[in-house]
Amino acid sequence: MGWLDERLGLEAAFKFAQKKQVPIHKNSVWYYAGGIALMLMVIQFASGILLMVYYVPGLEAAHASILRINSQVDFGWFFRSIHSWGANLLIAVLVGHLFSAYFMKAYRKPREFTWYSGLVLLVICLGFGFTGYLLPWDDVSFFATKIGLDIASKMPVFGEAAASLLRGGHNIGQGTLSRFFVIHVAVLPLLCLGLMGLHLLFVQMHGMSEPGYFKKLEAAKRTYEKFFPNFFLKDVLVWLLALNGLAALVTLYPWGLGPEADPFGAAPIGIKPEWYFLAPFQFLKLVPPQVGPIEGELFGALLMVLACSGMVIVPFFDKGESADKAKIATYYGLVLLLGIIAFTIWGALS
Amino acid sequence: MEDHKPEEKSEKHEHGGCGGSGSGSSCGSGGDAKGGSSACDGNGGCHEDKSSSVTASSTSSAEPVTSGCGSNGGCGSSDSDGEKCSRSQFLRAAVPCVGGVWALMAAYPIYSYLTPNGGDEPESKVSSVNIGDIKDLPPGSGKNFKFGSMPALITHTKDGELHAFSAVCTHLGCTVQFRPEKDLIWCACHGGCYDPSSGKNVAGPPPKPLLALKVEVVKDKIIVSKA
Repeated sequence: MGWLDERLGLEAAFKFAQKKQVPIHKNSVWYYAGGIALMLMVIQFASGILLMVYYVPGLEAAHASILRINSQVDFGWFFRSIHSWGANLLIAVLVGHLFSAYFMKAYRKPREFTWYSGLVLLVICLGFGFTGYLLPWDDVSFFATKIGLDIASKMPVFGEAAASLLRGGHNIGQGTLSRFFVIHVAVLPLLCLGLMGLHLLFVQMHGMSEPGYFKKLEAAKRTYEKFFPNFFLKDVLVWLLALNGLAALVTLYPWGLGPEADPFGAAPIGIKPEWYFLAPFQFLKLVPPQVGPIEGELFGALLMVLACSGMVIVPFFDKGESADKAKIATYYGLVLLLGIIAFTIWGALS
Repeated sequence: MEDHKPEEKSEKHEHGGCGGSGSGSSCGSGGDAKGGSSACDGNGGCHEDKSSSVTASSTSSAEPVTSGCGSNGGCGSSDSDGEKCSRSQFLRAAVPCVGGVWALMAAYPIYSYLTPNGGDEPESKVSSVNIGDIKDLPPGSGKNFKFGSMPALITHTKDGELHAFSAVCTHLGCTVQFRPEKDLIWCACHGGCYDPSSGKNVAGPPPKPLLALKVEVVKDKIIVSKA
């Protein structure tokens, strides 16, 4: 141990972990969300590597290789289901993590970069979802990609060029599949690992964020617990519970596979994207073909970007100096969250 | 980085090295303003007068050194007093400039490599297709088919007319289909509707009509060609 300590500085790290404190208050439960997301991310990386052993990113082979994983490879269905269910749970946990941090005002000084790195990580995870969705090459994934790239192409200035780069041609085909595969298994993981490291570093630098009401308490009434071992052990327990939940979902509801994509067939009736893209999907249904001088789909896409842009500017809007601005930020967050929930439910039911 | 301590400079002088990172590694920063001399040998070593290093520390705060490629303190040109910029200033301006140019040079081949080279044509090269016997397409029905690289759709309306269109929805590119119970061309993705006779967008978000194709019946065979 001494030999290792001399070389790795373990004692200093151990002392740091013991010194770190976690505030105890009525919203402390949300502190577990980041840890669960981290655990699910590790599961995604591990199961993704296992799936790559059998997956073939070819137009004629992709669907068949997933069928083989699902039906012929021992525990193939298990690892593929873990990857699919894990992706969905990860997005859900990240959304919870984002909004809990938002409502606890964790974006305020000095945590602006923690906030932004978290926002970008969520976007990266949505990118994982979008690119990974195409890889099985089934009918729903084919049209979901078509819609996604068409929306991207409507964006001003670089939209068409970016969509063309991603599509790898004029139509969705082998070029698209190859590019999405590379993005999914190489580009996004690299970005994600780097940014996760930064995000965790920022959290260690600034400690856990404390909500306003907690900060205002007298020093004697503010209670903390040690991160190590107290909070860490609880974290491990929560990870185990989450892992059990994932295993139950995977076993009881194994992830299916739709019919192979037919680029010349009609979009299947009842086609819907994954739940986390349902809100924009439903919103785009409502936008008329033309809004003034702007095409409807471009107007809809810009409106959605505008609606979410508050998440980017909020650290500079609500700095904790004005109660009114704090209220406005809270109401904005509530409206955005309720809007996303309402459109998601509407999209699921329609 | 600007506040070089005399001790550090003198130590550097003894070692005769220059160009590493960290405190005291840059050479002659700001020193020239007071006429300190610096010179480099052929091996990249740096030789400075100790006096100039001392002066550098005392003058750097009074005369802040600017760097960059802009007009203020830009390298390769003399400042307003006719004094040339130091090597440190030059390097601090040159490294980002050269780095930027290098990044652009690297980006161009990467962008070109990733840009699709037109291997698949946007427009179908096929000019007409035979999609089968008219008896297989009774009035009030429709059928999707492949027109070269483009999905297409034919409708046989209740008035006995045949109409063919591109099946690519003008909203977000999904493939549309004929719904006999609604007597409409319909897109499953966002619910866009088109008239089965004209292809005109009649409901939902599509902004434009479907692209029309030409239909002929030759010896009971349906032939679809570009309009």
